[in-house]
Parts: sequence; C-alpha cells; structure tokens
Amino acid sequence: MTEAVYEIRNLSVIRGENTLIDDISLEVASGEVTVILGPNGAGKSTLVGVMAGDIPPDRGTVRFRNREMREWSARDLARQRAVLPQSTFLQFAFRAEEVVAMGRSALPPASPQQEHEAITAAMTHTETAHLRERLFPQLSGGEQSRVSFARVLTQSTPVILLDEPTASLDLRHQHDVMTVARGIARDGGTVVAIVHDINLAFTYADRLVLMDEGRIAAVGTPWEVADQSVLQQTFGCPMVVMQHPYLNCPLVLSTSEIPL
Amino acid sequence: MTSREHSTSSTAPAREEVSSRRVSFFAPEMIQWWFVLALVIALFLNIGMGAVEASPRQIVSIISVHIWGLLDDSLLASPLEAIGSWLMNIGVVANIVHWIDVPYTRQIDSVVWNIRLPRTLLATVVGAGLAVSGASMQGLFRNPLADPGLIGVSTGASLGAILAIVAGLSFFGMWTLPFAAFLGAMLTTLLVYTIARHNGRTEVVTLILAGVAITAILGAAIGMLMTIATDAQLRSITFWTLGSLGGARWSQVGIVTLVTFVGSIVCIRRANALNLLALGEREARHLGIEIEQVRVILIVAVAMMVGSGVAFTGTIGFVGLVVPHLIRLLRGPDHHRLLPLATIAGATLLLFADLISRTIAQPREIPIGVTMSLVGGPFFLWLLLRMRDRQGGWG
Repeated sequence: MTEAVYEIRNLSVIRGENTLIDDISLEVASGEVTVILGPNGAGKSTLVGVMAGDIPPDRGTVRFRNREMREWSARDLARQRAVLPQSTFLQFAFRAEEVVAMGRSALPPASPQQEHEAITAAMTHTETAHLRERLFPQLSGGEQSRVSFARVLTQSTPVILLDEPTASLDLRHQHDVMTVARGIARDGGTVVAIVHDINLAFTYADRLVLMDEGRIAAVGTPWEVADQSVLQQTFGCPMVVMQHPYLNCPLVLSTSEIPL
Repeated sequence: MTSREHSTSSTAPAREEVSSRRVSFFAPEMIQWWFVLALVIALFLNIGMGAVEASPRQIVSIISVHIWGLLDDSLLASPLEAIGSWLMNIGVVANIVHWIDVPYTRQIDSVVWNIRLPRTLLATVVGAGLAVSGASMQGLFRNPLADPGLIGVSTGASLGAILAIVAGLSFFGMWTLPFAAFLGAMLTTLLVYTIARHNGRTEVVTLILAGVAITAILGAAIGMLMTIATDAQLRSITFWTLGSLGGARWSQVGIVTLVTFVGSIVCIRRANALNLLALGEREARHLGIEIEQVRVILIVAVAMMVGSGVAFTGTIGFVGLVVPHLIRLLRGPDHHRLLPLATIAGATLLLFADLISRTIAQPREIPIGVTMSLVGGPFFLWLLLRMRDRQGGWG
C-alpha cells in the first residue's frame, strides 16, 4: 500500500433538500484501480465531481496529494489529474485530433514533434487514429467517448478520474479502456472509475466502492464487496454470486426474480 | 495562458509536409490572403469612391504627402530626409515614387484626408472590433447565437446616447454623446454581470437571461424617452439608432483604434481558453483554465471594444454574428485562427457595407445599420443553409 492520493473525511454534499453525499470517508491509493459502483442516484458522479475539484464539499474535507482541494489552482490540478466526463457536447466542430490535442493544454510547452507523438500515441491506444481528421460532433457516441479518453490520456497526469468510461462502448472497447486504465495503475498511477457493469467492475477493480443513497455500502477488494445480500439490497434485484470460471474474481448473475 | 499557443497547432508537422507543395491561391489555407486582399481593395474603394473620385495612385500620393508632412515637424526630419534622398538614388524606389506622384486637386486632397480616410479607418477598426467581440462571445458563452448585444452593451449604449439627446446634455461638447453611450454600455454590462454572479461564480444561462431581461427593461426606457422627445430629437435618435459612420474624425479614429487594438490582443491571447471552453466549462477547468478570470477579462475587453465603437457609430448589428460563422465554415473553429481572421473579415465586411450605404442612393446616405441588416440577413441565411448541408447544422 502506497501513500493516499485522496483523503476524504466526513464529506457531505447537499443540494437544497437533497443530500447527495452523506458523510463519506474514503482514501484512494496510488497504483490501484478504484471502481465506484452503485445504482442510479447513489452519488457516484457527485463523488467524482468532488474529487475532480468541480464541486466544493458542503461539509467535511477533501485532501488531494496532501493539500486541501480548494487550495489547488486550476493549472496545477490539470497537471495532476485528468477527468473523463460521461459525455462531451462539443460546441464547435473541431476535428478529433484537435480535441485530443486540447488535453495537452496545461502541460509545459513541448516541441511540435513531441506533441505530435503524444497525440498519436494516445489515439493509437484508444484505436482512434483513423478518426483524426473527422469532425468530433459527427462521430458516433462510442467514438466520441474513445476520442475523449484519448484526450484524457494526452494530459498524462498521474491521476485519472473516469465517469462511466465504458457506457457507450461495445464489449471489446470496454475491455480495451479498462485494460489501459489498469495499465496506468500498474505504472504507479491512480485510476478512479465509475462503472455500471458489475462484472466489468469485478474484473478490473483492485478496490471497489459500493455506493447507495449517498453513503458507502461496502468497500474493499472485489471478493470483499461481492456479498450477495449487500448487493441485492443495494441494487434492489436478486443476484447470484459465483466464482468466475476463468478469472480469480466474482461473477454476478442477476434476474428480475429468482426462479425456484 | 501565454505559453500555450501551440496546443492545437501541435499537429503542425503532419500538415507542414502537405503545405510544402505548391498551394493554390484558392486553397483554404490561403484564406487569410484572400481576406487581406479583399480588405486592401475595400480600403481603396471606400477612400476613392463617392461624389469626388480619387484614383488609388492619388490616394497613396495624398496619404504619403500628409504623413511626410507630419514627420517634417518632428525631430526625425533630417535623418529621414537623408534616408529619403539615399533611397531615391535606388532606381526602383525612384521609379515607384514617380509613378505614385500624380497630380490631384485641393478638393480631392481635402475630401480624402479629412473625410474619407477617417471614415474608412473608423469602419475598419469598428468592424474588426465587432467581429472579434462576436467570436469571443460565441466562444465564451458556448453559444453560436451570442453576440456583443447579448450582455446588453449595445442597448446600454443606446440608452446612454438617447438620454443625452433627450436631456439635451452637452457637458463634453461633441464628446457628450459618445461619452454617454460608452458609460451606458459599461454600466449595463456591469449590471448584467453583477446580477449573474453568485458566490464567486457566474452561471452562463443566468448571464444570458439577465442580459435579455435588462435589454428589455432598457428598451422600455428608450421607448419612453422617445415618446417625450421633440421631433428634432427624435430625428437624431433615429439617426443614431440606425448607425452611421458619417462625421468620423481623426480624434475618434485614434481612440477606437487604440481600444480595439488592445481589446483584440486581449481576446486573441485567450484563444486557447476559448478552444477548451468548446468542451464545456467543467472540462475547460479540468484542463487548467480559470474560467471566471477568463470570463471577466473577455467581457471587459468586449464591452470596451463594442462600447467605444457603438459610441461613435451607433448600433451596427450582424457583423459580430455573421463573421465568426463565416470563418468557422471556411477555416474551422480553432480560435487561434478564427480571432485574427475575424478582425480582417469584420473590417472588410463593414467597409463594403459602408461603401454601399454611401454610394447606392447618392447623394442620400442609407444608415449603415440598415445596409448591414439588408446584406447580413440574406448572407446569414445562406450561411445557415451551407452549414446545414456541410455538417448537419451548428456543431
């Protein structure tokens, strides 16, 4: 276990009558993929928003790399963490390559050659190199998502936050994105990802955070979190937890009702 | 911000290989030269055409004589004369000078130097300022419909000017009206911005809607002032509201040029931030942009540019809306290119509009605002349809 990148203490986020996040404490370490899992409205995106520095905490403290979140300047944060949003609505018709290049904005100036290489590498990693010259708004949802992921990669930060990186991707690209994410963690980076596919989460997570109604329902390794009754209660549907036939992780099957 | 000019030009090496081939003048990469050429033509036409005509050679001759005259009084006079006589020894230079040196009457001289030139230059800088302001506002508010009018600058300026007309103010002599207009523009922008600001952050939609609301209220005030105005006042109100570049003076040109120059530089230096804003405000912040700071700087720059322009020329619409869209269509949305090109294209467009205003119904003059809408409206429609064909609407 290495140093904690994020130290969240008694965090609450309140919007009017609604408590989006209710007294959460959490530490996130480097070198790990942390996956946030939970039903709609559990507060996952809000939590990632707080970690990104978008949403100031209403109560509690968030420390990022041993500094209070609000003490970070936008520029310094941009050199430490990159954020993949759920979806990107691009206002003007930039080309995919230009969008990826935007990721390098906060970095110290590099030679055009280096910039070009960084962009090409990121686009190759996300299999978007063939989309270079295409206009971003004309790409499909999945292609846009991968181009945005390439943009996050070019920012080359030690910490990346991914809000549903796999939502609009086909099966193979889901695995590609999660594999790249795991590679970053293995190289000492920190990855926090919101994932809806419970089995994808179990496959790639080093650590899982199960959220429900603004609180943490369970946290730990996939096997620690894969408790049938906790999962059933959180997601509100019957589930069966079993050993994955090929991998050393849980496999979950769910139905709308349990056949007896 | 300063160090990051290259974020989107980072793909340069790939494209440089392409551009090392001979590029046709009609290729999209050459577009800046079309605009420069169009601007030069527009300048000469505007100075040369009208009741008194002046040929390009006469224009160059008149301008150089006047500039030489200005220099003559300065300390530089004798060294310049030395350089001048040395240059004249070079055959080509002497030939050019002789070619330019053509006869002209005192009347032509007076019309060109005292009337046409200030008017033309005023149109140039006001057009440039409006276009770069429009492009910046569209980028800043992530809204293709945004134009400087959105934050109430134009209406505020109108109210200021009309108030000055109706109240018969004259505390600054001939500068009273521009001053009142500028003050109105600034105060309105400040008001709209203060309303939209909350807890150190500004909600863009609130800002835009606050602009709409304030514009409506000021519009009502203008309406009321017009009902109590005398017929003579009403005439000058109408004249002012429809816009006019007539009566431009050198002193005005100086002020507007200075403001527009500084304002444009400020906007162009924020090109990278404007590019990132296309991704969304949160995303721009994720990429290291202090949004609130950029927003204040750009709004102030735009309010200054539009405020000073409107103060001397009245309200001129469409330039700020149409020009940025045209450039995006031709050259893509990158603000590093868009903003500088917008200044040139905006200047050119307003110059041609003013030329039409002056010459189409001689000796009458059509208000520039009317011409601009008459030319700009159909042009914008054409642009709209082109855009729809090309990329399925406003991307």
